[in-house]
Amino acid sequence: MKLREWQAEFQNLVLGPAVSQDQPPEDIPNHLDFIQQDAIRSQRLEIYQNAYQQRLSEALRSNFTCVHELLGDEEFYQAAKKLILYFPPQTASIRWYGAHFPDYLKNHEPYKSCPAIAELAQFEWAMRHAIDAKDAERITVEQLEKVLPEQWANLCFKLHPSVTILSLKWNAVQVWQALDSGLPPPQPMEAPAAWLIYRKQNLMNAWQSAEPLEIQALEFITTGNSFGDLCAYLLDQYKDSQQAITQAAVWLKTWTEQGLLLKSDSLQEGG
Amino acid sequence: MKTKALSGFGLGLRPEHYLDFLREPQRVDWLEILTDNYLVPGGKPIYYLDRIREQYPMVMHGVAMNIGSSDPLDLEYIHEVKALADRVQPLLVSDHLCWTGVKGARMHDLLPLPYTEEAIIHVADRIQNIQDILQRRLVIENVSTYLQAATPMQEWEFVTAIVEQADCELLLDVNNIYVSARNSNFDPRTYIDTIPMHRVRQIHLAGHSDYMDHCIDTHDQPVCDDVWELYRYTIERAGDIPTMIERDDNIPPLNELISELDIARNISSQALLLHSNNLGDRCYEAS
Repeated sequence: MKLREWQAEFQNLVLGPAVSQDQPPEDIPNHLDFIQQDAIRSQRLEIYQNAYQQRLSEALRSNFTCVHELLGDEEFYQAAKKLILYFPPQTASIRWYGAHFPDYLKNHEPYKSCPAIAELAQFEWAMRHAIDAKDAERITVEQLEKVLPEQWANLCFKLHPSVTILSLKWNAVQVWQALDSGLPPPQPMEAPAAWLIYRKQNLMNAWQSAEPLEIQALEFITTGNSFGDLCAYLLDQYKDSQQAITQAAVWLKTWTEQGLLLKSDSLQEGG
Repeated sequence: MKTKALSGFGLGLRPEHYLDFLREPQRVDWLEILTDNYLVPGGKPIYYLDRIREQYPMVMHGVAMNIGSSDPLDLEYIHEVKALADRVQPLLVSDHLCWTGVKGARMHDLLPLPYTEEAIIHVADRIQNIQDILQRRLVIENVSTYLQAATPMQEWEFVTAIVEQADCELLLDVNNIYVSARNSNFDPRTYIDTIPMHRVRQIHLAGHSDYMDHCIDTHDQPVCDDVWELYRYTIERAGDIPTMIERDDNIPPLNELISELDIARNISSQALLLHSNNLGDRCYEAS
């Protein structure tokens, strides 16, 4: 048997129970010969089968510690088993396994009927992303202070790569905070809010809620629009130019202090 | 950045011990990083890697090169490993003599190869391609196996043929030899006696779970007596080889691992005396 056929067959045997989850493992076909006697082949194959499931489940558990805490071992393992079936790993590094977990929980029963679980998973994945997202030089308040008056209107910004903006409908973050502190979680309830999740300069993760208009403004100014455009955008909301400019300046300073913004090309030229 | 030649006794760097290594010097000659844990864009892992690298020589050890697969090489992954090696400047870059998936699947497990001439040619060719990209010799590690394809060849013959044909180097995992020997019923000393020791650049020691009729390579407990004895046997025959302990689960405080490393130091120094005597005897016989 050629190497490729041998490997394909061996792999099918390892995946067998995952593909037909409710059926017992298939017997090893006679055309894959091993030195181990028949009686112990199934036991040895199970070692590979279990390793596949356990390694992926463990990767999920480390990325979604609070979802695991909320569901408990057995339910979490069942969810993991289904995810492995629907979304087998695609990347060389196991670090990225779990990207589909929030969507899976959102769209499949019994988790679908409790949307806070999927939102909790979304939050944990954003926290995981913040830990090892790309490093990039952030703008500082001192740099902003050096900007010349005529340069302000054309200033552009980008979001730091660690930032995720989430619009959640449920109290998933409160559930996370309780579980993360070892406390009983509150009952899931509707609590619509926008959340910013990011890595601070000191490498610690941060998360905070923000008003919808602030989130819209942040998304607006980090998608190719200038500070002048933002002032015009806010003027549409406030109908008062001084209030719009003041609010834009306050937010810009806050975002800068939080480390959400990157140094822009326009600022480098001017500052 | 410390870049002296690899020698002495090392440990696998784990996040649980980052602060211990930064707080004060530890009795560890070098550290092995898990390559795949640092193939990330930035943030905490890279920060700690850079800081600790300033203090300790490092080697890189990966799990996902998929060296033995019949799928095309994942060139993007290998170039990522190369970029990390450029950053870390490791003394060695290693991965496993196995496959981790075929037909695009990623099994995230170290699957066994059938010991055949076809596999030798295939794997040796791929190792040479990888070495061309990495611009250095690759070090390959023998894996623990639970099933062995029925072929006329033994694992040590297979490993020897590949390293000779690919002109690569070996990371000898003494625990894996012991586990595979128990699972496939061979004498692990035959393996040690046969392997080309001049190509062995590093030794791994680790704990496993013993279920009487088979063993599983779990890396979650201390090295057992049988593996220590096999290590002693290896050093008696091979001489001084840089050695480290791998612990991937149930990770104890760093000082416990350093104490365990002291056992390796003691066994090695005792075995080296015998190795020198053996060498002396052979020289005497030769003259």
